[in-house]
Amino acid sequence: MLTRVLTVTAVSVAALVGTGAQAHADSVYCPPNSQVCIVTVTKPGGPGVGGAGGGSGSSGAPVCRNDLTSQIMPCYDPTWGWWSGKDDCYYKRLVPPPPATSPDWAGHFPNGAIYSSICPGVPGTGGGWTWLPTPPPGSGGVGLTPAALAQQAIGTMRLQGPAIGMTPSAGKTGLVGLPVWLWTAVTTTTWGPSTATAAVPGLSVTAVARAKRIVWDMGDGHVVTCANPGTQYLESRGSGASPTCGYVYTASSAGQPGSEYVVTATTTWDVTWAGGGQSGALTVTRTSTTSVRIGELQVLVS
Amino acid sequence: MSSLGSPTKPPDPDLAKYAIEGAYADIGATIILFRKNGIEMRGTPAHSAQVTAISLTDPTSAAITDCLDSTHWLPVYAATGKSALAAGQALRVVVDSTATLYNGQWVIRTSVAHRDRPC
Repeated sequence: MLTRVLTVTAVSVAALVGTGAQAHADSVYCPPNSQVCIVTVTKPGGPGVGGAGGGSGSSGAPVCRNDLTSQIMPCYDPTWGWWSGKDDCYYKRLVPPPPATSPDWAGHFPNGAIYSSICPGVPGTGGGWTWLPTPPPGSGGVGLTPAALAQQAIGTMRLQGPAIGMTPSAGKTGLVGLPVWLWTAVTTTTWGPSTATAAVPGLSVTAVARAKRIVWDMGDGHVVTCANPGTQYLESRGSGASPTCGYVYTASSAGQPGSEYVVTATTTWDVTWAGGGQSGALTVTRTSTTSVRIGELQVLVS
Repeated sequence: MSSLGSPTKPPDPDLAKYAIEGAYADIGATIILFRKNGIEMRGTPAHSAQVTAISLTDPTSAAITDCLDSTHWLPVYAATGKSALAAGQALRVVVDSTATLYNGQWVIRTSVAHRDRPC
């Protein structure tokens, strides 16, 4: 099973980076009780030529896995019914049911129900009718969508708001009219890119997150938007302005609660994901806060 | 049998009207696997079917033996048109089926192609 999951992961990653999946294998398959045998070309974990195809967006139908053919199946098919992972068959309750006198009830009428099963991949049979006391596993279930699995992958990234770097630094007082530098330390959790894969048997989704911008709410009613992580201030920079992301306060923080501006920095992450024959994109925001004290020169010298 | 056609189209909704139980399941499983692999059947089969037995006890049923000729009814990959037929097969084989009265209609309940019995 581990090998299968890894195979699916490799295909997903290949789809993400835009290269074609090369893995394939030929095998002879004889459909149950059919007059011809066929040669099948299998792409492990792929959607299949006649399947849903990739790039269908984030609202895809739940998918299940056929362990016998290593193919992803819709968990529900309007023609065949609900997929049961227990025996790799679709089950659909017969409506109307066979008459009470039918041997198909095996003497159980009116308890339980008779189901039509379709078992693609089970050698020698395509399924048939089965009496069951209760619906088989998976019936009516919601399955797990690639989009939901993508959320799990994103959760493991532990994406954060900026690791705020700022001049003046905490505990020090800045001045009206002097440049303020704004930046975040660049790590996989503060700026990315960050990649994570979440997998369950039969489905693997890989997500990639990249920070797109940081919106700095300076606490004085002004907002600074930077499409970069900013530049860390060094003493050698003197009193110059940041080349990438900065601000200049025009008023003292004296009238603010605690005589400080509360600075709120929000990072917007672009996340793309692919897996299970589907792909999608979404945005995630993460916020950090700090505070800064800004004084006026005349106040300091008086 | 039209359900074994294009893998991009949904299966024939009438399939359940003339096939039930094992025959329906066998065709269904075949349709699913053909679709997953992008395979469709092209052409037309030829039959020479005979009713070989009838049972009037409940459920009313009939045994049918056919010499199915699929010389001109072959699996191909829809995208490329290349044959999906495995090598070394007889294309005229005996098919034994049972038909039964179900919900007032004659339907095929089982259908077994004997790939080891050319005709």
